Amino acid sequence: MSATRAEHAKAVAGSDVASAKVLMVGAGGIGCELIKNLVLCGFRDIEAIDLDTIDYSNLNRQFLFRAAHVNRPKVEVARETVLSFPHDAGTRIVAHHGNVKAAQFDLDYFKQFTIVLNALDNIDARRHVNRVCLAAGVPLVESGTEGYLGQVTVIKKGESECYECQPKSDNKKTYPICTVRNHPDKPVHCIAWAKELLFKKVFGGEETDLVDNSEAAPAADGAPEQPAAAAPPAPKLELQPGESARHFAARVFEAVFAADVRRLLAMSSLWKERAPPAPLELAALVPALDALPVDSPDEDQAAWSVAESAAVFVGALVRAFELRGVRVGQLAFDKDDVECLDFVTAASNLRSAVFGIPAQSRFKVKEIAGNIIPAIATTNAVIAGYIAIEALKVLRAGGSTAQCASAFLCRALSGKRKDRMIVSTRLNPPAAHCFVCGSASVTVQLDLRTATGALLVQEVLIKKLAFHQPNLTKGDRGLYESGDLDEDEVAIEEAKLGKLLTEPPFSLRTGAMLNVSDQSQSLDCELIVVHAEIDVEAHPLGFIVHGADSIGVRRDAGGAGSAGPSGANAGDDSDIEMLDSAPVPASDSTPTARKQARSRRSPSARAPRTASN
Amino acid sequence: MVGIAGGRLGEERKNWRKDHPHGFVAKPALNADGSFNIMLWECAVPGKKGTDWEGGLYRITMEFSDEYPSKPPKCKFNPRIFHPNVYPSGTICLSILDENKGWKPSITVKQMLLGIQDLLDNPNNNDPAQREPYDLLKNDPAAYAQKIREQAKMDAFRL
Repeated sequence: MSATRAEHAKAVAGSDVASAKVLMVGAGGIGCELIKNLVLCGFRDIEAIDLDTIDYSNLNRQFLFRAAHVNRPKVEVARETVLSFPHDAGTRIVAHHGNVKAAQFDLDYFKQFTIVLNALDNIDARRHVNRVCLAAGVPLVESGTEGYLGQVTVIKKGESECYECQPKSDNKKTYPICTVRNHPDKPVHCIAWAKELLFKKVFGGEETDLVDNSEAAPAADGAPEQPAAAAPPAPKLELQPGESARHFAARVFEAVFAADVRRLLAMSSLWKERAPPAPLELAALVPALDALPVDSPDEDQAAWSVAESAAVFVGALVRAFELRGVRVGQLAFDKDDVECLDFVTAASNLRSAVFGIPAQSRFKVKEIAGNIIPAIATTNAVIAGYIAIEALKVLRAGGSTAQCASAFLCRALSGKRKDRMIVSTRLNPPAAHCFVCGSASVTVQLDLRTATGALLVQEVLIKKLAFHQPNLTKGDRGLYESGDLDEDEVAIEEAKLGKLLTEPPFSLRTGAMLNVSDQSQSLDCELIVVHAEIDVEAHPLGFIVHGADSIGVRRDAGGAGSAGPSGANAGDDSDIEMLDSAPVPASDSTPTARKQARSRRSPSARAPRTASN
Repeated sequence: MVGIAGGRLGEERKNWRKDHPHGFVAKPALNADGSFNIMLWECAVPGKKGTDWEGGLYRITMEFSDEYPSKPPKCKFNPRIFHPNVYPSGTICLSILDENKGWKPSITVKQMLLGIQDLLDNPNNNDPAQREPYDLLKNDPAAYAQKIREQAKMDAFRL
C-alpha cells in the first residue's frame, strides 16, 4: 500500500526515476504541466529554469498559477504549487529564476543531469540548450506546441537528429511583394497590404508606392517598359492644411481603392489569367460622409459588409487624428489599439472587395495581423505527458534514445492513420550536413564591398547562427572575441564591428576560412566567407547562409544520403508560408508528403509568438 | 582551422576571463593590424606580498606551438629578470614548464603563472640558468635580497 510513486514508475515503466536528476527548461504552458507530471511520476530531484514572471493572460492555461501570483517568477510559483500536491518524500525541486543562457548554467552545470527536458517557447533558447546538451552528452527531450499542434522528440549526440539538423522556418513571414501590391488572392495578402504598406504609409510616415510598377508589361521585344512612363506618381497621403480628417480619409480611399486600382487595371498583362480588380467609390458606400458616425463597431466575430468597412475605414482615421493628432505619422501597428485594428481590418476588407476575396472578421484579422497563435491548454497537457513518457523511456534504456520516438499531435486527421491524433515516428539519425551536431562548415555569402564586422558578428553569427558569445579566428589570428570582457576590451571589440570585413583586423577576401567558437555553447565550426552581390529584395538582411539552412538539405536530398526523412524538406525554403495556411499535416496521404508537412509545420521550429506557451 | 591548440587556447582564454588571480595578466598579443595572435600570449605576474619581489610586475611571453597542449608553451621573462632559474634569453627554467619533466597537458595558464610567481621567491639554486644571480645568492644572500628589492622598484617592472 505504501509504495512510493517512484516505485510505481519502476514497476510500470521500468525506469529508475527516483535517482534521476532532471532539468526542466521553461515553466510556462508546457512547463506547468510537465513539472506536475514529473512530481506525480516520482521524480525526486528536479531543477527548473525560467526567466518569466506570471501575467494575467497566463492564468487561463498555466494552471499552477492563480491571480494572487501575478508578477511573481513562474518557476518559483510552479515549484511551490506542485510541492503542495501529494509527492514522494524527499522530493527536491530547485527553482532558478533566470536566463538559461546565463553563465551559471554552463557545460558543467548541464553535465550533472541525467536528462534535460525543454518546455520552451522560442527558437533561440531551444538552439542554445540543444548545443549545450550535445556538448554535455546529456539526452534532451525537445518539445513545442502551437495551437492544436504539438511535437516531442529526443535528441542525443551521435544517436539522433539534433534540433538544428532540420531547417527551421524563418521567424518572419514573407510574402511575394508583387502579390501583395498588385494581385492578392488570399485574405492574408490583403491584411499584409493593409498592415505593412497602407498603415505605414498613412500612419507611419513611410514613403512607399502601393503599386509595384515592375510588373508593367514589358515591351514586345522583351526589354523593360519605359520606367513607369504612363503611370502618375503615387500621391502623398498626408493631411493637408485645412483639410478635415473625414475628407482626408475620403482622399486616401479614392487614392488606394480607386486610383491605384485603375493603375493596376492598366497593367493588362496581369489580368489575362486573373479576374481583374474593381475600383470602389466611397460615395456609393458612404452617402453622407459628413454625417457618418465614427464609433468603433461592436461586431467582432462576423465580417463587416463592404459599406460597413468603408464607414469604419473613415471612422478609424478620424478617431486616430482626434486621439493622436500630430503623432499620426510616427505610429506603429499595435493589434491591441482599437484604431489601428479597425483601420487595418477595414482597409484589408475593402481591398478584398476590390479583388473579389472573402472578407474577414476583426477577430480573425487581429489574429493574423498580430501573429497570434492561440495557446491551447489541452495541447500543452498532451505534449507534457508525452515528454514524461519519452523521459521514462530514456531512463529505462540507461540514457540511450534507442526506444524513443518523435511524436506529433495532429489536427487534420486523414490518410492511412486518420484514426490517430498522435503520430509517432522513429528518431531520425543525425544529419551529415549539420554544423551543430556534425562537423559541417557553414558558408555565408555577403557583399564584401559593404559588409561590416557588425553584419558578420551580429546578424550572421548571433541572429542567424544563434551563437551566444562568438569568437572569431582566422588561422592563428584572433579577429573578434566576446564574453566576460573587461570594459576597455569591450570598447576595442565594439570598434571592430564598424569596420569593413576587408579592412584590418579582419582583412577578409572571398573564400576566407574562419573558425567560430563559442565557449558558452562548447561549439565551434568552420565558416567560409564568399563575396556575392546580394539581391536585397530577396535577402533583406544582406547575406545568404548555406549549410546551416535548407540549402544544405537540398544538396543532400539528391544524393545517396537522402533515404531518410531528413531529406524530405528539400526545396522548402522556396515556399512562402502563409499565416492562415490551412490545417496542417497529413492532408496528403503519401508518407513522405506527410512527413514533409509535419516537419515544415513543426511548432517548435516556430518563432516566438505573442501568446507564449 | 586552428585545431586542438586553438580550441584549448580559446578555453583557456575564457576560463581566464571568468576568473583569474588578482594582479595577473594573460592575453593574446595584439598584431599590428588589430587582430590577436592567439598563439602568443602576453602575461604578467606580480611579486608576492611580503617577499622581496613585492611591488614589481614581471612580464612574461608564452609562445604556444601547434603541439600544445601535448607540449608546453615557451615561457620567457621579457624584459629578462635577475633570477638564478632564468636563462640570459629570459626563458624560465621550471619543471612544470619542461615537457621532459613536470609538464602535463592538463596544466592551465593560470597554474603556470602561479607556478612562476612561486618560483620568484623560491629559487632553485641547484639548477642554475643565469650565472650572476646564482653566484650572488650562493655567496651573499643579503646582497641578493637587496638586488631583488631594487629590481622590484625598477621602471621596467613597475605595475
